[in-house]
Amino acid sequence: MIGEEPYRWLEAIQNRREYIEDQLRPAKPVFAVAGGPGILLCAVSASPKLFEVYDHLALAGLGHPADLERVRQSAIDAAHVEGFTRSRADVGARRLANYTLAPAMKAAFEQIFAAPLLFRGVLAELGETPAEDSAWTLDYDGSFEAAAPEELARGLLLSGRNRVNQGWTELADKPAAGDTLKALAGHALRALAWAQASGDGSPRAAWKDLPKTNAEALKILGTPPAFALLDRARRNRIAYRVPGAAELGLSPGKRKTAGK
Amino acid sequence: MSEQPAFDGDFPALLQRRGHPLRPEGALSGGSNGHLAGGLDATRATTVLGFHCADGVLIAGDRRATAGNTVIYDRADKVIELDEGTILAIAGTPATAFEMARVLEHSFQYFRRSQLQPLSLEGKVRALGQLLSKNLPMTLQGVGVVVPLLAIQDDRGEPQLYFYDALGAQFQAADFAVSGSGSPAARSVLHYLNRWSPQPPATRKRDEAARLALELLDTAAESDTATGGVDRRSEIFPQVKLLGKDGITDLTPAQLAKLFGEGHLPKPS
Repeated sequence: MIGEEPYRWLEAIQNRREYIEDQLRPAKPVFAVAGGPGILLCAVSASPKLFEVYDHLALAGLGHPADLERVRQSAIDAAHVEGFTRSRADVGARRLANYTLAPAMKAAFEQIFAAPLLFRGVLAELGETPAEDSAWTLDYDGSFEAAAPEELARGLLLSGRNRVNQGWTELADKPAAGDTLKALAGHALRALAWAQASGDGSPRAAWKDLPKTNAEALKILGTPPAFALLDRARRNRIAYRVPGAAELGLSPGKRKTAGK
Repeated sequence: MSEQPAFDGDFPALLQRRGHPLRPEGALSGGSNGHLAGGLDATRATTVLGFHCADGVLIAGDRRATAGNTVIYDRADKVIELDEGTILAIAGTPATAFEMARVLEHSFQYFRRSQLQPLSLEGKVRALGQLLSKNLPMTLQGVGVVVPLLAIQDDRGEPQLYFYDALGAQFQAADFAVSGSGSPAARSVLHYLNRWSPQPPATRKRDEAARLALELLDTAAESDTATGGVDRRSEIFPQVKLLGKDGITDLTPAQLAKLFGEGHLPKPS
């Protein structure tokens, strides 16, 4: 029995990890960045990757679409039950990530005879002020991590390739994205384009190496990205909305050209 | 993710699965004699009304909450925005009614977020009917009666008005709908205006419609002690909301004070 032999169990877990990393590798990245207007989420993908979870909570994820759905649904279920039985003020990313999503994901990862959960994502919570914004990154093995507000202001990049994620974390001279929606969108585009262009390598890059303009970034990305905003102006109601191209400083014409 | 999620968008069912049933099973199994209790009217002590006007559907309610013949609260909110295109006006037991409003608010959002599409007009209208019919045991005991009105945008954004009976049947109102103990007076006036006035409510613009709503609630309060009407001394005004094609407008107390003042006949000199 495999469970009775520590070595074989470790081997199975290691195989499982390799298999999942292999499966995640081609997934297109998602990006979350906070600033004055709120938290902007961005993804380049044909399938939906950005989701509303609750009034002030949103999820961006990558992986198998069916697994994304399961995580999304679990988060939505838990948030709504909590919001109804207690209050909106009691629904938060920290409790949701730490007590609901992460333990379930860890359990799924360790059930080595069941199909693994192919998921990596970030759960973002909009605060009253940028300093109160928070985001929790979650991984398929149930590990989770909070992003400090200043880190969130510089942006969180989640791709299927660990070396790219590492590269972003270590990227030198990363500035805060700024205090306008256009600045947040530009920041996100440049980061995503850099992630796409850096392939499997571990680039020891600096912020100045990123594409300089939106047009340049869009050209690298190919497909126009999807955006979602947790809008601070609507903090007390339903904050999640899909911003228009004009607000983001991306005119439809430019996007079309870039898509070719 | 260990439990298989149900992708049905049904929020009451989710509460049930998570151990928060809306009505504990077997807690109440109908009235002792099956009759609507004599105290029924007292538990609907309020007036809410809605009618079609030129700018959409106007919906209004007084602010008084009573227990028997005691006024316990004079700033109750009985006209509740469920989402950006839906207003619920409640007459009945506050505990049950507010709970229903909360369930509906969460149900609509839960459906929209989990299914990634909004719940349809029929779905929303029916959701309230289901809550009312589930409430039957309380209704039969005469302690949890709720008889609401619902103003809601249809799929083209056109405001519609619905009313319900205590058992959950839903009806679409062509012109107006009223509920609560003070409603007969308001109903009579609305009926009269609708039938005989050269300026029926449906032709009135927002401000005129709002003034009419204030006058109707004032009229209702004249004969019904459980209806608060317009308390100008304490500056407590009814809630008046307009559901138009572009969403909900909440008329402020200042606006209402001005409108109600304008409507007064000049004092004889």
